[in-house]
Amino acid sequence: MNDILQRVNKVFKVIFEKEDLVVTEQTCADDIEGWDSLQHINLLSMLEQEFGLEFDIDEIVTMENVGDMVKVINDKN
Amino acid sequence: MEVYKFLDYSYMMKQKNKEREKLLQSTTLQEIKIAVLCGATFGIIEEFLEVFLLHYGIKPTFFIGEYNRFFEEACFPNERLKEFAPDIVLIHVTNKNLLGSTNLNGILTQSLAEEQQRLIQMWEALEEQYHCVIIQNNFEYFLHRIIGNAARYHRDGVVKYIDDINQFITSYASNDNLYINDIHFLSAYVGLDNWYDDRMWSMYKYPVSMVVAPRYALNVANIIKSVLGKNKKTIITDLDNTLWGDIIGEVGVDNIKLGNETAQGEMFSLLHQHLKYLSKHGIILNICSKNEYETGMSGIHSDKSILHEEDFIIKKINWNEKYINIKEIMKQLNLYEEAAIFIDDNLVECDSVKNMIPEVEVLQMSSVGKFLKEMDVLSFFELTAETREDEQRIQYYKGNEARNEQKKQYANYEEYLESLNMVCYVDKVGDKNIDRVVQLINKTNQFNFLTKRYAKEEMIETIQKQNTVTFTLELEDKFGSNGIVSVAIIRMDEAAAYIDDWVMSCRVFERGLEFVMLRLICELCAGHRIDSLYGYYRKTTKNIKIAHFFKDVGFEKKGCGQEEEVEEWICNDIGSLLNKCSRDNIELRWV
Repeated sequence: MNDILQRVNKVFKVIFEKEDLVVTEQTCADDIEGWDSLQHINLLSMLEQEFGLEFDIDEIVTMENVGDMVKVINDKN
Repeated sequence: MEVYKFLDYSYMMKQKNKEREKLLQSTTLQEIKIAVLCGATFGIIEEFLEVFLLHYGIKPTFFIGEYNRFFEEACFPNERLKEFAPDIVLIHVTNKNLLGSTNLNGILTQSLAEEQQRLIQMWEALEEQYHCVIIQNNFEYFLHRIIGNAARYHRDGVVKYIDDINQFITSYASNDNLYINDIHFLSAYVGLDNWYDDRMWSMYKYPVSMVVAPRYALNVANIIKSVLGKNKKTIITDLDNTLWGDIIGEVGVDNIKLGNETAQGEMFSLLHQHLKYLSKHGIILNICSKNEYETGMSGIHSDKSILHEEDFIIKKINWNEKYINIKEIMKQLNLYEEAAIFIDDNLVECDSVKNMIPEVEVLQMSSVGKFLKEMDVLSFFELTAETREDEQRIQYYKGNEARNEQKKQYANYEEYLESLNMVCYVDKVGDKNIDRVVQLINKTNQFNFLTKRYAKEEMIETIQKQNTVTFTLELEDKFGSNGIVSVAIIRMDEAAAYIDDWVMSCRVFERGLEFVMLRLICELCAGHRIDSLYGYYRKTTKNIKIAHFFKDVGFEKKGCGQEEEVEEWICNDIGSLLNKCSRDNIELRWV
C-alpha cells in the first residue's frame, strides 16, 4: 500500500507541477489548489498510465480522496 | 522528429509545461487567435494544441466556447466572441452532436437534411461575422453499428449516415476558408476501440480517450500551420541507406537494396514514391551526400530508382561537410533554412547539421518503415491552399537553375538582365488572383515592409474600400513565368498617398522589379495630383534587407507611425522619385 501511495504521489507532483507536493490517504480536492474536475480526470488518466490499468465508472465515482484511489488500485492489482 | 514524442500521452503530460516555457522563449512567434466552439469538452486538448503550435512558431490565444453551444455561439450575435475577433474558428464536434445520434429510430434521412442546413448556417454566419478561417471536424463512425454490416447501406444505417454527412462536408471543404479536421481518418488510424473512451464521454464529455488527445491536437495544429504558410518547402536527402539500402560505393549499383526484389528494397521504393508524390505537389527535392558524384548518381540512374535525375533540383554529391552543402542549397533556392527538411541515416551527420543549422528540421532515418510513418503523422507538407502557383513552383526552380547558369556568362549584370527579356504584367487584386495574393503576402518575409497577414476575407474588404488602389505584378522572362510576385496596396486622400502594404517574392530579388512597382505608385500619385507619398516599415528579424529601402530612394524619416514599432517615411518630391525608378530592361504590360 505504501509503495502504491508513493507512486500515486509521483503522479500528483506531475499533474499539479509541484516537486515538493506530499499527499496522504486523507488528501482530497479541497486540500490542493487547482484540483478541479478537469484536473481530476488528468489525474485518473495518468494513474491509469502509471499502473497500467483502467478504472471502471463505478470505481471512479467512489474516489474522493487519495486513500480511495490507493484502495482501488490495490484491489485491482 | 522530436515532436513525435509528444504524441505519447504520458510523455506529453509530464513534459508539456517545461516544453511550453522553453518554446515561449522564441522571439519570432507569430500570434494567432483561435476560437474553439464546442460540442464536446476541449479541456486538456487546449494545452496540447498550444505545445504543438509553439513548435511551429505560432503562439495561440484561445477562446473556449461553452459546452454544447457551438451552434448558438456561431450563428447568433456574440459580444464576447466579437470582441475576441478570432482568426481561426475550430468547430470541435463529435458524432454525439449530430441530430441523428439522438434520433436513431428511423428518421436518419430527415436528420441528414436538417444537419446539412445547420452546418451551412453555421459556416455562413461565422464567415459573415468574423471573416475567419473555419476548421470543421468531420465525423467518426459510431462504435456500435446495431444492425451489423447492413449499417453501411440500409437507409437507417448509422455507418451510411456518417458517410453521407462526411461527404457533404467534403464537398464544401473545397470552398475557401473551410478546412476539415479529418477525425474520420484519425479515428480509423488509431482504431475506433482506442479512439473512444465511454467513461470519458459519460463523465466529462471528452470526445476522445485521453491517450488519443495529443494526436487530435497535432492534427489541428497541422492545419493551422499550413494555413499560416509554415509548411516545409524542400527536402534535402542523403543517398546511401537513405534512398536505398547499403553503401553504393562499396557494394556497387547492382547490389543496393532498392526495388521489389528484396523486402528492404521495397520499403525504399515506397519512400521514393512518397518523395515523388511530394515533388509533384510542389516540394523541392535535393540531394546532399558524401560520395563521388558519378557513383552517387549511378543509383539514381539505375532502373530500380523511381526517382530520376530531373526530380532533383540541386545535387550536392561531394565530400564537403553537409551543413556547408545544405547552406549552399538553401542559398541557391533562395529559401529560409526553416523551410528545409534534411534526411540522413547517419547519427553523426544529423547531429552536426542540427548543431550548425538549428533551423533545419533534421530527420534521422533508422528504419524506412518507421520513418515513413512518423513523417506522415507529423505532416510536414500538409496541403491546404494549393494554388496554381504551388504546382508551378518546381518549374520555376528548374527555370531558376537555368537562369543561374546564364548569369555566369555575362560580365555585366545589367547586360544579363537585359538578356532575360523580362515582361511585367500589371494588374489589380481581384477575384481571379486573390488566392495567390493572400498566399504571397502571408508567406513573404524578406521583402515585406509590415509583415501584416491577411485572411482572404480581410483582403476582399481592403480592396473594396474606396480610395484604395492595388497593383499586382507578374514577371515573365525567357525561362518562363514567375507568376504573381509582387503586390502593393495604396490608400489615397486629397493630401497624400500611403503605401499600406507592399511585398515582393524572394524569387525575383535583384531584378529591379521593386522600382517598377515604385514607378507605378509615383505615376498613380502624379495622376491624382498628389504631392506626398508615405511608406511604412516595421522591422522583423527577416526583413532587414529592406530596412534602408525608403532612405535609399530618397524618402525622409518622419518618425513612428501610430504603432510605435512602425517607422513612417515620407517623400515630397514625387518627380525626382519617378526619375530614380526608370527600368528599361523590364517591359510593362497592363492586363
